[in-house]
Amino acid sequence: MASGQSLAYKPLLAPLHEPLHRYLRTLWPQAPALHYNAQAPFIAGRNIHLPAPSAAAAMATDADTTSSSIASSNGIPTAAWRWYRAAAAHAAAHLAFSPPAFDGRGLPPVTRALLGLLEDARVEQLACRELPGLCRLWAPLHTAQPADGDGFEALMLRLARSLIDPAYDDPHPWVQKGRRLFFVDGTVPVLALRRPDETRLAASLLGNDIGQMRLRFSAASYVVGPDYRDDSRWMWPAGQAAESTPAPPQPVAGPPAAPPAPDKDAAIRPSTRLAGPSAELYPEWDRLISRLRHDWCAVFEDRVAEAAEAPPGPSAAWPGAGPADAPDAADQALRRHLQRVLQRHRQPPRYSDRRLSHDGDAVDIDALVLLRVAQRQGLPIDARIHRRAARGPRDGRWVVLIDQSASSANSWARAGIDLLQASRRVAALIAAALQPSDVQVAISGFQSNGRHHVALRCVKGFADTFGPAVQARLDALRSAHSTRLGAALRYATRRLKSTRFSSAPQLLVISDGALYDIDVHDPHYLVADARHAALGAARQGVRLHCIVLDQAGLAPARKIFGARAVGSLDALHRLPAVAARLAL
Amino acid sequence: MSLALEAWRIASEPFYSPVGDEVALFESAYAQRLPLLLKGPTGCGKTRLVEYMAWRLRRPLVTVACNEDLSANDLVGRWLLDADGTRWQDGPLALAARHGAICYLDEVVEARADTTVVIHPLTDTRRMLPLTARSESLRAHPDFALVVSYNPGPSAREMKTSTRQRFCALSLSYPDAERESLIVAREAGIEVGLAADIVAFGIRTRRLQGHGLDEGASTRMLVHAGVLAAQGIALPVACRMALVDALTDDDATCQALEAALEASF
Repeated sequence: MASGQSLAYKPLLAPLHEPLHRYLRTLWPQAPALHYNAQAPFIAGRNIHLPAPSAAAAMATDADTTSSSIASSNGIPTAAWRWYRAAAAHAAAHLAFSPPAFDGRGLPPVTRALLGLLEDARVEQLACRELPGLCRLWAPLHTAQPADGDGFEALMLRLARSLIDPAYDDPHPWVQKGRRLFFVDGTVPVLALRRPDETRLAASLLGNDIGQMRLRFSAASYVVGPDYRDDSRWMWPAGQAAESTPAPPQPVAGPPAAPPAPDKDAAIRPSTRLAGPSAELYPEWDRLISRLRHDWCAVFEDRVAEAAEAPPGPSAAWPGAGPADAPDAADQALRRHLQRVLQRHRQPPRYSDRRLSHDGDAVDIDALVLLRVAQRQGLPIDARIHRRAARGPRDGRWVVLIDQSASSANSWARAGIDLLQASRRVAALIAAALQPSDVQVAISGFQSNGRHHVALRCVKGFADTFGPAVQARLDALRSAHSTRLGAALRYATRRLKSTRFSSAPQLLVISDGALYDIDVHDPHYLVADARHAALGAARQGVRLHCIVLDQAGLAPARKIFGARAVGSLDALHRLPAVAARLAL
Repeated sequence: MSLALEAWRIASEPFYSPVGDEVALFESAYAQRLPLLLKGPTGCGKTRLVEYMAWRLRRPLVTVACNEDLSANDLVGRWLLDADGTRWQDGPLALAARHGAICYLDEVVEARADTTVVIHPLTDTRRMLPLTARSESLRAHPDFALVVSYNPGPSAREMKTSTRQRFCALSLSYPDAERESLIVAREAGIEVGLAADIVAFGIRTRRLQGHGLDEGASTRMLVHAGVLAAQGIALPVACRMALVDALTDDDATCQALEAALEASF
């Protein structure tokens, strides 16, 4: 098509999708799903398919520089942002104002094309009534003019422009007739086409004129223009408007990978151990007999060797980022925000010893006696007799447990990384945020292969400083085996017993919430056992929290930890909000 | 009617436009001195309702803005030093209980849980407040009532169950578009048509709740936009200042709201 050149974009999907999706939500209450897998925009059901921002070398400049463009952020060029807004808003206007389909039986292709054009113009008019700014968004993208000629495609574009742009006056009689059919009065833009059959009639009349003008029209090569408009395939449920590009299935966070078949004779399989093998035996709660089975689980602790090479998976966590898990500007901001949230200690106040002030919550009797004595003696007095309830600095011990089971290899939300990578990032951020304070953080991954082998892979000990070595060990964690959470919780509780600190120890589990092990057939067994372990830990004064990375795991996690202690995370930048909500 | 709290009386009728039957319900609860919990999004009129009811019921109103650093002594009272030695100073809660005012704890979940439990003895049939530092057991005045409010958004802290269950709750929300336009027009001093445009944009921002915003624009923010517009500022600029830039710093959301602003006017 002459007008409407396609623009080439840098890889921008993540920074584009969120603002675009939110923009559509503000326009009309029903928010359609957006996909970026089409050659040209089209609508299917309640899904809007748009072209992907492709990796091209240069940005084709857009001829339109008029009217205000919203300043771009996130690296999206202004023209691209404007084009995507126009395309998405046009498609959303169809979803808001168009009928589900049209009856195309017996309509020649020319009439179908005209019907599509008139319907496009109609929904745009209705949308502009509600949102006047949309007219300023769409009109500049119509660049047809009489100089383009009188061929069929050119006339269609000129008609489209005359219907959206009140300032455009086209001299061609066919275009003017189209305008008169569309609007009740030539000057006031009141729609004359109220119902689908009226639109059909207008399209037929105009189509007849095209036939009489003997204009050549090729249905196979006709493309709807300008290019922000959809291809109208939604209008014809049985027939086909244009050849559709097959849409590749969107990678969504699907159900977790199918667990391996239960292995009846799960023998002890030693993992790569660096320290000497030493198994601690822990009990397990059997919900069917409501008793603890003593010495039931063997927990092996070992220290992770640092990764020799970078972990598998997409090397860029998201667009704009460097190598996996490397800090960048956004990361630093996130780290600082998280730090602020975590430093807001939430411990009960205690009276600090020597700090007296002019007002406060309690009177220090000794100071008061000295004051009265000084008053009686006529000496200068020190009126600081109050003690303030101060909150001590944040200290204590935390254990962060990372679920390393096979299901952690599933992808996480839309971020393009898997759950284990996301867990690593969360753990790294928290450890880094707490580094400056007196809190000692230990990070361990856990995975199990039957009750005889629950592995706790220690990445960071309490005494270790968070740095490249710890990061390297974090990167060495791999997804494998299953999730036997109860044993891991009991292990961590034992590690957290300490009398030195005034603050309650904290235990944070990062998981997808899917509990499974190869020698357990009852689906509720492990959840009940984990709950028992969590309650036991709480009785010993440990504060438990869980960050769930998969919505499906939210329900079992809540059963285990309680609703207040569970937060779900679907984007890394929401971590501070989740941490604040959980009162970490 | 105690003269001690004259300064806390509401002199003139505050403007309040009822959304449902909350006024009658509030009166019924007060008639039996039941503690009330007002829940609703920020800026939807909870405090205004309390002020209106305090005026209507002719009671003084003692308001406490709760925050993380509020201690039990801040609510109950403490010993202070003066020329003759020490004297006891009632906190706002004790003041209201002693003299029969309505005590209003605004954003009660912002206070720590160990501070909030101090209200427990006042909220059950005992209706007394132990002032342990004074060895006094203060019996609440018959006209005393307790009202608390909070904003149950997604990032709100949770209230302890033992505290929650002492209250009757009124759930408030933003009024419908027509009524909200009237409120904005009246509070900002602009004409209703202009107020309706502002409210329409405010409603668009509320669609982003949970998608980039914790909450959309509150009625209060719409009034701000109206006040700016009344000064002669162009409506898109006023909405940007009072609504878009005030609501969020998140890039994606700002971009979406800016685009919506451009589309709306």
